[in-house]
Amino acid sequence: MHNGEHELTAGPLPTHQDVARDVLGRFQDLGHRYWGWVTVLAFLFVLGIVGFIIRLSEGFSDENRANWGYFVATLAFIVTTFTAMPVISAGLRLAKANWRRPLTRVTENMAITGLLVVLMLIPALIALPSIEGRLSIWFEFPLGAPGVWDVIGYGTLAFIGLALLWGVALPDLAAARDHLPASQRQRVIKWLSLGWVGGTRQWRVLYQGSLLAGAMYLLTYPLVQTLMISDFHHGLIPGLKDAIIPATVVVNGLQGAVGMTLLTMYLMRRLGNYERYFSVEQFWALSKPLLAFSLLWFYFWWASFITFWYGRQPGESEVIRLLVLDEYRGALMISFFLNFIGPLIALVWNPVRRSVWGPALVGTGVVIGALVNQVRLYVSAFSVADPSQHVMHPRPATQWPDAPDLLIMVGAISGCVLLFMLVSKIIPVVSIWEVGEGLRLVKVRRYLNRYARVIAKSH
Amino acid sequence: MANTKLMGLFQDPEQAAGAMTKLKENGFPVEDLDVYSGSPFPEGSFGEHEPEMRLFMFPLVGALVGFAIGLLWTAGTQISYPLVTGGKPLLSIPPMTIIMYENTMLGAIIFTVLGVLFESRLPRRKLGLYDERITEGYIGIIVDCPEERASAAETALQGAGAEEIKREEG
Repeated sequence: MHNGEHELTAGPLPTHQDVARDVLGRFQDLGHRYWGWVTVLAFLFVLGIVGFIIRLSEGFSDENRANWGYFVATLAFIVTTFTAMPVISAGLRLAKANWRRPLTRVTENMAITGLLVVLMLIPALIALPSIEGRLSIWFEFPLGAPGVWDVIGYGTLAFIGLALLWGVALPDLAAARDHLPASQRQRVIKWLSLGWVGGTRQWRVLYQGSLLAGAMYLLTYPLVQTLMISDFHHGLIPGLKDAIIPATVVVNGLQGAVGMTLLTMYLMRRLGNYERYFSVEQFWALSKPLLAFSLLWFYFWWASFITFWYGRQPGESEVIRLLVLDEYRGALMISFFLNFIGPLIALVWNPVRRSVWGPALVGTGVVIGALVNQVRLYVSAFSVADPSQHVMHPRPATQWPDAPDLLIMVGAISGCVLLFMLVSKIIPVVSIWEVGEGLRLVKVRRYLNRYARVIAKSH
Repeated sequence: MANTKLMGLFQDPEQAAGAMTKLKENGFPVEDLDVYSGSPFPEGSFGEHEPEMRLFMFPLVGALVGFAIGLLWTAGTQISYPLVTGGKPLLSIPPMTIIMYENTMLGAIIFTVLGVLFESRLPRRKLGLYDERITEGYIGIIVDCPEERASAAETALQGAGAEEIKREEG
């Protein structure tokens, strides 16, 4: 809704009413195109379930553990991209960034993928070997680690995400309740709106509640990434003792979240005609943290690598060979290019940053790089035959995906997009009230020989 | 003395703010006035009453409860199943910290959700005096007053330029 500065004129800006009518009009529409996409995604998701059942039929024994590597890598990819997206809106809301307004709901709607993450976590935990006799962050209480603690951690993140999504969406659910014709869908929306009327007290509570829930999401996301990397990677590779790897994966998650947000906004522009809301301003603004996270991606990787390189203990040498120099060198190179070199080369140029296609293209590369990097981290870890060794011997060979793995990867990613599309027809995909509030705080004023946008602080 | 509720609907926020001023000038206590809107306005924009809230207490209490449960759970299980490993202390603090942290966050969010529902008085089964245009950007000024003062409130709302005035039925 906020155009780049070169498009500024003294003409009237759209009003809250314009935004409400436009967003609700699109929201109401459930055309053939929408159902076509839903059908395709549902079919792919079912294929993923078929792949999962094939893996399930092969069992969870230690000999079959490597079969679950791609399943866990897919889970980690979802946590690193889709489920990380609410972090963007939470952070930008805390920072009171005005340009965030049109994109917060897109990122918050992705919190729904937390449900799929919790479901996928259960078989992933069953596939883990016993913690006895190997490195682990847990004490050896027989009934807890890591299953109960991981489920609580992931479940907490999913719960916070859903609370954030629902709470912040209450005013827009009320708008949909008020303006949709009576139907089953409208009744569900009415129930979800909880009787919101938009009184002074309700707005004050919503404002504080959204900040609190957002801060909690920001605080819990690193915990979940720490559990993920510790239990499904670090604890399975003999000789791997990387003190900064939890921070590394959190930074990777933030980069993945920005990349996926850019990709989602681009697709919504192209497929959903949301150009008014996702303009150059949003792409330009997000490209800056994307560049910063890409530099951090390298910094954290390098800091880990150099420690092992200088350490040169037998166990450390084997770890470097597995993850960097030999078996997963190709995966690292792809990730290195897509998560660091590519973004660095592209995003240092202002014309690329200040465009729609540039950040979207880099974001797509970042997402692909994130997927390849999760394969490198988690497939390698799950293919280690005996995690209780001090030195990995023999090193596992590169494990390529077979048919069930591909089905699971495509199915789970499609499942996330499907959930997003379904929830976006219950909760409008652009936050009407946030955009409406932002419009009221913006005035275009004459400044010397040009126009300038003046933005008031809301609080 | 029976009370009634009126709502004046305004498209222009300036007029809504003027209505609030008029109502206060006519002796309607600010605590009996409320503003309904489709998006939030900066605090005090309409000269409205600032409701007292204690939302920040909820996550604090929830976090303390969660932390206590986490502490009891982890310490309790390790003491109940004393597995001494390599002569190390029975209570293993680093993993306990992780579990206490996630319980703290879980407690905090559960209490926050309850706090949001309690403080915003939700869920409401009936919307009461309301207009669907509010979610399109209109402002609703709600006046809660004794029956005999309703006409004075109506006059003030009308004078400020209300597009429509609604009165609570029954």
